[in-house]
Amino acid sequence: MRTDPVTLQVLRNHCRAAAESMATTLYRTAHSTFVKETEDFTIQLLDKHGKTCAVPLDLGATWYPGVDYEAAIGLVPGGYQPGDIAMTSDPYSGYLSTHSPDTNMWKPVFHEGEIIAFAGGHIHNVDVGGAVPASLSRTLTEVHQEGLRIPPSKLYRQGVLDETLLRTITTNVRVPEQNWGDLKALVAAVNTGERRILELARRFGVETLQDGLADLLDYGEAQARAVLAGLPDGTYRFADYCDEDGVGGDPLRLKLALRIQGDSAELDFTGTDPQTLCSMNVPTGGHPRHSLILVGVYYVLSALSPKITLNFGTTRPFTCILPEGSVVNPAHPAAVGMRSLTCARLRSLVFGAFAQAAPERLPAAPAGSSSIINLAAENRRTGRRVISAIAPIVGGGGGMPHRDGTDGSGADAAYLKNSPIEITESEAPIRILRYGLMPDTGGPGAHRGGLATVLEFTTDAPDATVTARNRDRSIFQPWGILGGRPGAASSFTLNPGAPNEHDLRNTDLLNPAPGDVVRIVSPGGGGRGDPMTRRPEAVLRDWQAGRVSTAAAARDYGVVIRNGALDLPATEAMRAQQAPREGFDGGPNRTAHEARWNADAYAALGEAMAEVPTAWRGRLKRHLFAQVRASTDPAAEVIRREKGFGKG
Amino acid sequence: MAWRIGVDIGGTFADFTALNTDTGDLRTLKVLTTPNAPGDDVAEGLKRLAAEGLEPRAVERFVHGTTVGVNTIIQRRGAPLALFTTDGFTDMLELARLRMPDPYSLFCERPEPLVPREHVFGIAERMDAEGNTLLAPGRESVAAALAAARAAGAQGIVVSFLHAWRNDAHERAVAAMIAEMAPGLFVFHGAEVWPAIREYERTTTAVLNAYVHPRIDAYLERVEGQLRAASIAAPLLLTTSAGGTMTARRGRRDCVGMLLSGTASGVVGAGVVAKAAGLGAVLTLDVGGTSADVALLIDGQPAFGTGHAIGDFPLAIPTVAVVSSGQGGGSIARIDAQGVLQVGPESAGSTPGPACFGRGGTRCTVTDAALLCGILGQGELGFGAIAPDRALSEKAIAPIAAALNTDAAHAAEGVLQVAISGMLVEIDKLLARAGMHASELTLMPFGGAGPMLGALLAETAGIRRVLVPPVPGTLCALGALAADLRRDTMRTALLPLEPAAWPVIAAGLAELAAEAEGALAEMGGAGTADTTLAADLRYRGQSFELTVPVGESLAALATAFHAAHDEAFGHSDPDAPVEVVSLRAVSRRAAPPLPFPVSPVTPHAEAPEKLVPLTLGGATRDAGLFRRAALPPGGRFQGPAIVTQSDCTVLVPPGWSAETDALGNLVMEHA
Repeated sequence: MRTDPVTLQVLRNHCRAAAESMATTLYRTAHSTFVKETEDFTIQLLDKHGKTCAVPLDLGATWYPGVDYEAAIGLVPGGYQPGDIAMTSDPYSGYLSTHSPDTNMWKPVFHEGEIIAFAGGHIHNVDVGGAVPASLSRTLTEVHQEGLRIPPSKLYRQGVLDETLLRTITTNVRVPEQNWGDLKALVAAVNTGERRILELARRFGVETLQDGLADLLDYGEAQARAVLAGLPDGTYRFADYCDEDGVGGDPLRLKLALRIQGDSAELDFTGTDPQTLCSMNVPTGGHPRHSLILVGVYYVLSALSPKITLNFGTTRPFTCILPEGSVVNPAHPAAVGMRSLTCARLRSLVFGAFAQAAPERLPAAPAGSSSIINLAAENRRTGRRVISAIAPIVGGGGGMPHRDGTDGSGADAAYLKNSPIEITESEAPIRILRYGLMPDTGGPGAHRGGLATVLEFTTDAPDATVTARNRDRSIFQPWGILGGRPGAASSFTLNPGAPNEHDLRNTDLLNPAPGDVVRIVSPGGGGRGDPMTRRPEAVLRDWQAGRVSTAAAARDYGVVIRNGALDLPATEAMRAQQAPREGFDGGPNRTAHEARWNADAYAALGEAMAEVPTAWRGRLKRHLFAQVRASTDPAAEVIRREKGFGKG
Repeated sequence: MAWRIGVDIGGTFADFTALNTDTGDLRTLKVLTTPNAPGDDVAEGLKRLAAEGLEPRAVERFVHGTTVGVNTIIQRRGAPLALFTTDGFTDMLELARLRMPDPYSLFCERPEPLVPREHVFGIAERMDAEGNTLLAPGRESVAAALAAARAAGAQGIVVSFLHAWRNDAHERAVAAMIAEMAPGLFVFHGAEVWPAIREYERTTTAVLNAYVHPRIDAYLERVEGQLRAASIAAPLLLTTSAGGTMTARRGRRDCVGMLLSGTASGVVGAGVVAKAAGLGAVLTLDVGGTSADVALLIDGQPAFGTGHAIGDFPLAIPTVAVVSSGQGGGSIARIDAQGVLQVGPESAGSTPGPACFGRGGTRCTVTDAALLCGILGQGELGFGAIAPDRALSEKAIAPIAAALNTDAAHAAEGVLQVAISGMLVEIDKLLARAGMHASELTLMPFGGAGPMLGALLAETAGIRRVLVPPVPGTLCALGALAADLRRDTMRTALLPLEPAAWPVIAAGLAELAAEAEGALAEMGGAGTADTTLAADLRYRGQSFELTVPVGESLAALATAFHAAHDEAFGHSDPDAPVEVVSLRAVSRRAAPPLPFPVSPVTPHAEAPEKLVPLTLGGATRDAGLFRRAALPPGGRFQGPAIVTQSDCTVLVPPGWSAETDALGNLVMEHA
């Protein structure tokens, strides 16, 4: 390293302080309640190449600590002058913003005529126009429907606002003053960043600062490499599935071969399904270290090495292979708005691959589906139509090496916050009947998966619309490992227990009639280790706390509870009859799917895809799934018979 | 002749400040705390004050800040409780607000709730958001829960129902049933402790209150006994988290009111010093064993906030706003796997403490580093209670110095630099939240380790002025003496800020004022009460509020809100509808003013007693050694210098000048 180990840590603290004050400035001055509530923004302190050196840890989302601005920075025409501020919201230029509501912004920091660093950040605008309010829906099929896209452009030239660009933005969105208010907050944040970086240049000297920023990346890289070096070399293959590749669609398979060699790793996504016809695609441009693909890696590294430094250097030991035309590298103009649903599955995909490399050190699958529930209805008290965010319905974490998964949240969903029932009921015509943990939903295991969350509500409004974004895992359950069983599937039910009960599955839009009861249950976390080896006392404690029923204690754990106490002889007898469990368990639906859609079938699907242009693949997949469903022949045979689809 | 005594219990020491109101004579005393026999430290200090000739019968005011409550929570030694919630919401404590600390970690976890899930019972009852009964609680439901709670060994019950912020009739009814059916159990209900909207925060606050109640009750009983035994007739007053005082009688029920009193009284003490010195914007810095606490003062007044963490839990009551970072005198230094120097958050605390304390600590702490740089070790530490052993520090830092390929003193300076840059993170966030610049501020360091690090931190943060009060080690006890008798009341309103709502707002505030003033009257004492009214407002659709003083009219309130929003967030929208979320009243009766004797200032240059070696800025050089007690007002000298005093050591780094002002403060300025 160029910097001495004391100065490096001092500089690191200063950079973190600068990033935190940028984030605080953004949070403090943002206009929209959405930004303040969801903290859907990030801040980056970037080196002169646009690589992230430092991020805040206390505010904002967790997705972009290693994000790379270099390509987007280079796409701005005309080079940079002091006082310039550039932005982009186009998911297809530079692959920085990953859906149109996300605006990324950056400001070059000049010292004696040279760029020494950049200050950057992103904010999720509530709405950027397009086909639907808030600009996001699974029903959209082209990025053009997802609202305004700004390619990398200067918003300020030498300190002067580009009024034309601003007018273009405000003309194309539904609540212009809110967008401009939030953009101004982002401008304030990058200006704060510029000031702070110049202070650092004065304090440390430009050369020491530049060297130090480079060393911070090396430091992040060295920590990540140390973690990888501690994992056994090998290729670890894993697949995970989204329930649907569109409204009422077929399973969406994500496939990963993780090759760990020494202190580096390759993440090969070959075999992942083609880009979807709807907006679940994840735009990466094939960047080998795209931050959105590596979010799962950040979590794994943090689990294996607590408090690890996260920056662009962290991503250097990793190389991703992202096949063109696949859901992880869609071709323009595929829609991308709902990429967050797929991203949740990408994270569990990465967790699963690493869990094979280090099963003794990593947890089972987290619930992996956080539904965001909104209610739009007229508030009788005020006569206004309100849109209320009711709560994110988050499930538990996976069973861990050292303890049970956290109930009702945890793992990669732990950044989400709920809304108080009292606030929701005061603002919206809703009565919440139940909000809590759902018993018997945690994947049974020596270490149990975290319980699912249940929300039950009714509304007396005549015109209520309920949206439930990101619904998933109602078919493919969060997997268990090392003999642990999967967490319960999620569910969405109208009038549960009533004669007119109706299973809503992965519906994301609903118009309940007054008095209807809506129940949504998240998935539970996966279990870890053979549940028959769970300490009976732990099962009893779960029973006492209402987490596990008497029946489930016997069925899932072989533990007999009588009159509120353990019956140990009966427990021993029951457990003696059980064969020991080991390995992976993705649940019966996954087993059934993979029996039909076996490796041969997916290989045939891959061959079929390779033969048609990208734009045809989503349709071909739909067609082939329909053919396989309609036939009893082996799926691969059915698929190979269909050759020639799309060729006229 | 009359005396006032302030006592503050910290991690290592119990600090006593005794003020003679006739002569202005201010005495300070530190005794070691007795965590295993709470209250014995108080008795010991009183004995020693009496031995110094302080006449117990002449004590007219006795104010105490205790850590019994907060320790009970951190050590999880509170009362076994049961919680009764609205049926359907019994997992409220488990779910909390969902978001967890350290969200990047797959292994992140929420703290275990203070009431385990199996001791939470749903009661069939429901109130709507307007305060209308949808389902009244029945006796059978309560009786069943009570039987289960007793079987589980609960000593107390917390009753907390949805929408009790609007109407607490159901809570009161159930509390009455419990009192009747199980008179041996103590009961608190949510709206009684703090009637704020947001069920998790309100319930947690009530649970914290009940959890610490038996221990605080027993402790106060003990201290009152010790006061009687010491022939002190003044009533026992307690410092509060809001920077005021309350009577022990009230404190027995209002236990959460005192949980953060230690940090609050330090800030109040700093405010008194700041006001007397005529300082506008001040950043206080209290460096203890495990953390550095910072707060902002404007014209001597602290800011208030809610949601401060107590152990692992948020407290809904208003509290003096303080932020903490994990670097204190006991923070441990280490070299990580990549060879980079790290300091904290692991701390040697007060046991075993820094290596140089010779109490079994073997790892190098910030205090050891200060000793090795030559900042400490020139005078006594903690009123002579500790004699630091330099050899132990050298041994502790040896592996770090070896890894850095340097000597002990230079490695030690590195430890200080890293610790100080770590404190910067929280300070920068605080300033960014307040929209302030470091150059506007004066830093006031206090606590045992604040003055030795204050100027170094100021330099790092860009603050050019540092003021060290005369006795920085006992500022909390001074704050206790200065704190007003105070009662906060609040009510959640959730009304539009419209002319039609104004009569309701005005009436609500009048009731709150009467309630607060009634509580003050009940607490006794002389003098008139001063009551201020405020409201928490927001633009409709926002989920966070700003507290704004309420004047004579609705229009004035609206104007004040828009201005406050503009100041806090950089924008406002005078046309947008505004909501009144809650109403507040604060009634206080001022503590008798503290005399600040002003001494004549004779400008002169101070000569050091001697020169001592000091390692700073990568070089070892001579620094002047001064004794604080021998620095009369007007005395000036230049850094590098070290000033020793009985409760702490002050560092004046190179490039700084220092001068004693008319009030005895040491004022340092960066060239």
